[in-house]
Amino acid sequence: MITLSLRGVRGGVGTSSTLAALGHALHELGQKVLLVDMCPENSLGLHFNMDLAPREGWARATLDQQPWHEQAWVVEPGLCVLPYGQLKPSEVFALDALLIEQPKLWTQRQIALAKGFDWILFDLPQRLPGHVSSPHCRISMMVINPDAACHVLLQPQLAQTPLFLVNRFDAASQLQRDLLLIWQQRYAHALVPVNLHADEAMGEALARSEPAGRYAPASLIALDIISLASWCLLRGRRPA
Amino acid sequence: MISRWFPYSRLRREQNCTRFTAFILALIQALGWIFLRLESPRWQALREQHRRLYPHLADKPSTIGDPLRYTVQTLWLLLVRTPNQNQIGRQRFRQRTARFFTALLMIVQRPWNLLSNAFAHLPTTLSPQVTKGSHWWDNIQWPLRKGLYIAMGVLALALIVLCITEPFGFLAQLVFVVLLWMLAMLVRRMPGRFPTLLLIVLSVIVSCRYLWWRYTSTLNWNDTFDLICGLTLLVAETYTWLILLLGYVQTSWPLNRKPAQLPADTSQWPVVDLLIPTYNEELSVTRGTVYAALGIDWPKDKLRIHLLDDGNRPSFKTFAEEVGINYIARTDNRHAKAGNLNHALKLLDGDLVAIFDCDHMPARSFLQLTVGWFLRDPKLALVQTPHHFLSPDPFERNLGTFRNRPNEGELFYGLIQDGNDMWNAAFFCGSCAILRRTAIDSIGGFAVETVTEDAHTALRLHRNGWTSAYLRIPQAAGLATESLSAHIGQRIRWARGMVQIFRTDNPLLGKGLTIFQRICYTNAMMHFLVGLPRLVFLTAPLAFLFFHAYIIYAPAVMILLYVLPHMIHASLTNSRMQGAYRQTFWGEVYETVLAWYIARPTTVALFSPSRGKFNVTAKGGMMEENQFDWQTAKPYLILSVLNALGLGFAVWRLFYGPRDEIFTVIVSVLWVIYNLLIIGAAVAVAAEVRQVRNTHRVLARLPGAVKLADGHSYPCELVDYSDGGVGLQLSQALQLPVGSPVSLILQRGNREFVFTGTLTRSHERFIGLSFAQLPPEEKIAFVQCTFGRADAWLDHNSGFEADKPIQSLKEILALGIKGYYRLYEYLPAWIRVLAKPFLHIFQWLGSFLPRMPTSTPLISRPVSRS
Amino acid sequence: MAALPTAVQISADILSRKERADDIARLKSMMELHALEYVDVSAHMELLQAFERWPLLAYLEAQYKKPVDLSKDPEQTP
Repeated sequence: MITLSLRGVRGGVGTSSTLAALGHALHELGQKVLLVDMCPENSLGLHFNMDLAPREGWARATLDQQPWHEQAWVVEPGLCVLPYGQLKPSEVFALDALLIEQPKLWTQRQIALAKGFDWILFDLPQRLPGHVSSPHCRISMMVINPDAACHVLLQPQLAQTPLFLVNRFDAASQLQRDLLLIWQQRYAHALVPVNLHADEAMGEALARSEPAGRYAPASLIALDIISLASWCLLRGRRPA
Repeated sequence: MISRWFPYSRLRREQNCTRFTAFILALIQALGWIFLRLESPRWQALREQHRRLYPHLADKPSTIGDPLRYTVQTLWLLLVRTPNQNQIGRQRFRQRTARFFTALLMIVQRPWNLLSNAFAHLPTTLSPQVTKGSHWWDNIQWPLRKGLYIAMGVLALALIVLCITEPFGFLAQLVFVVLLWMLAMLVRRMPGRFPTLLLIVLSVIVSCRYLWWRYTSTLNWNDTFDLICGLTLLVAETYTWLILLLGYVQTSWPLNRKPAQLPADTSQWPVVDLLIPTYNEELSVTRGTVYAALGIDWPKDKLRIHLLDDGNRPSFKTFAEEVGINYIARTDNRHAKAGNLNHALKLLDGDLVAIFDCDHMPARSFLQLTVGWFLRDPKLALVQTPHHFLSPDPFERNLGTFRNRPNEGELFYGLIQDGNDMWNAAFFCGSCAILRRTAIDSIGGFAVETVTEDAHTALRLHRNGWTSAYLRIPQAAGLATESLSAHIGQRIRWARGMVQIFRTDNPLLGKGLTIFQRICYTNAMMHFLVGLPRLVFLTAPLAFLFFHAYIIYAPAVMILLYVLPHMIHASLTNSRMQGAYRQTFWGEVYETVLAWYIARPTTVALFSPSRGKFNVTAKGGMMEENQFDWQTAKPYLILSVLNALGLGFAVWRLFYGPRDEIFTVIVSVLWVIYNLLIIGAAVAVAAEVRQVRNTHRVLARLPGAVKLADGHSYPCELVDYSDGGVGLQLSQALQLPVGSPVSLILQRGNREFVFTGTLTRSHERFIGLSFAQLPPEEKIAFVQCTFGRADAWLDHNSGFEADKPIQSLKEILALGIKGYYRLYEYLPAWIRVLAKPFLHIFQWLGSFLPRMPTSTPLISRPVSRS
Repeated sequence: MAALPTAVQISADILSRKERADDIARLKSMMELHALEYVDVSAHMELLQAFERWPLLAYLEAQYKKPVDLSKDPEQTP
């Protein structure tokens, strides 16, 4: 079993969409995949035509001392989504404190899940240090957009995240090309060698409540995601 | 029922047969039904396969000749093995006979296979003993070893001389050549270079023996005319023998040089002046070269690009200023290209000089691959890379061999230059090369005395102790000559120039060259003297058929026993050495086309090198429609008429000549027919095929993506490109109107580039984009993403088929026939009217010939259009 | 509907796409020049131009480089 997490360098870089699409692509490549929503917004399921913000989820269950693993939804055989559940803002902080207190919580859960899944993908939130640090992942990627703001944010981030994933790259933009060149130069080993291109199909996919690979399988973004999934498979196979 | 048994009225009605024909055919069918029980299942099964077994009769209206055609075809079917014969009767009998024959063959084949397999594994099984032996050998003291070397050499030489000079009778010669041939066939299967050398030795022995025999026992000294004809042929044969031997030396050990690594610190890299000489070429052609040159990966402050315009054209000057390169023009154009380069050198001071003809687009890796050797070897004066052509030359275009057969240059740049490099004799070819500035200065600039300044310059460099290198990595591509006349004109210039050098600065004489350098240069120059010998071969058998001259004064059987081994061994050896770079017999066609045209200028240049200004044939433009180049083909038409007359004489001699000459006549006839077909192939080249487009499309397989105006993007595959557009293959069809804007995303290395073009065509999953409106800086990027890629020309030979001499011979002969057919198509109308009845007779006779049954039912497939 | 390519085929195709896009890598593998150190000068030039075009990027680059440069070669900094 291989664990992978995605986290945006800031909000709105397309983390959840990418995670949903990546989960779908890995599943297409014959893998059993579990997607875990670690964000209090609780909206990952929307990509798989599930209800908006379901009440039940792993966070809800953890706080209520319920069995957390019963909350997962089966989208297709071998592709499951574990929602966050509805929490009040105060409860979110309480849970975060709990996660900091018990840093092994998700590690134990991952071991428990190892038999059922080949891949567990975590959609990490922006802040909430407990949520962010709790799952220990083999592959952790930070999603960035090629713009100057992300470039500024990247400066102090280097030490924490081993991998950067560029999303919404538009090769027609001079600035984006330049930024990518700088990153390729500067973070040669940290940059995932697959860039996700800006493609209208990615936005439309969510509006259709589908992951991009299912909504527009012939699109460039679908190919990019498949490339990313293949790259992850190769990397996951490598001894850590 | 009646209509089935006696289909008279159906034949009359549906097939328009005459009463007589319909009656006879119907009668035959009726007899068949009566006597053969055609309704039985076996006959039914056979009838169902009618279309497959009788393909030429299936859709043909019935005529009176059909019973004969059926009979011939049925006999044929019974005699030959058909692709799918399960349902046919008499199968068991055939199987039994086949088994008998295979068993018979196996008796011979099994030991042969065992033997040849043993030979194939010989190197691996022997290697321990060989290493042990070589250890032992190394431990012997030098004087003793030297003595042994000399002794072995003398012994081998004595044996070889014996093999060459010993006169043999018919039987002894037969045994001798069969033994040598078997040895060659066994050695052929062994891998490695040593067996190649062994094959060369065998071929040299057989060829030398042939020539020895020719000189000593085949000249008729009693008849002056016979002697003159015989000597002429013998001189021509000596020439080919010499070329064969020199070629073996030249290409026996190709060097396969790899690039030398540059220092990591780019400040140590030398300064390069890149010269693009131009005279009358169009700006549109030159632009691509300049864009590609601008994309070469070399520090900008160390690469200076100069456009040397001998035409002094304002448009070139403006263009040079636009893209920011240096423009050099001069007032006169003395000494043509060499003068142009020398004039520019006076104004430049870089360490190295790279030269690209204005239609040769360099790849971006050119300098990083070539310059390393200059740093490693301080005496290195020149690094040459292959000339690759992205458009078909007239031969390839008119014969349809582009991208599937190696062309004329392939042998030279694939093998000969690499062989030359072994002997430090790789020479300069005028373009796609880089030279050391101090070396050029030391010989006083590029040589201006001859019309081939490139080879002459290289010769001078070698004479002055400089070395040269050849790197067999295609790092530039250019346009081939457009028309046959232009192509021939270019070859005339080369031939004349090389012969001029041979006379004025003979590589065999003079100082400063090693023996092998002399051989390589001599071969390169002698090669262009092929014109006269080739013409001699094309007419030699006529001397006997027309004038009854004994050109080879020996029994026909002896001639065959000597000449066939000579040809077979040469062909086997060359096929092994050059198989990847040329196809056997195709070279004959190239030579035949050029023979007449280079014969005169080379002969004149040989006797008075400074005389004779043969104007280069005017450069033809684009072939707007199919046409036949009568002017160029004229000599070959005359030659073919002569050979055809020779055939007539042969028939006359067969019937009225002396009995004992019949075999000689037959041999001559075979020779004449071979000549006729080779000439036919040459004639086929003269039928110029229309060029469809202005710009040349390069086939490729490059990943890319398209982005539409609405923000959707789709992956695609770049299948072809030219300087004005691309062809793309998508994974699904796009519903887009022609003229809509589409952006193409291309990758080069890690970087992506976007080019916005307009949709020009869309057919299912294939679309075409035009980039006519790109701004200049994007055009540079586009050239760098396509023509300028480091790997753009590496797999040009992936479509080549391996050389199979027999297959190749068949193709050439078929081509010869096609050549005459093409000629017929272009003949004036009145000749065709006259010829038509004869052609009809031939066609009618041909319709009786049996056909090979088709293995699968013919389904008409849509021909893909692009 | 045509048969979809299997997962293995998809990955192979994608890997080959990536390989074919990189001309230098292909040059090295086809000509067996595995030891060749290629300097992508054009990318380097573009990088320099990028810093000229966007002052913020140049500023950040200086910030990023500073501590590294100082520790490595203190004499060269002006």
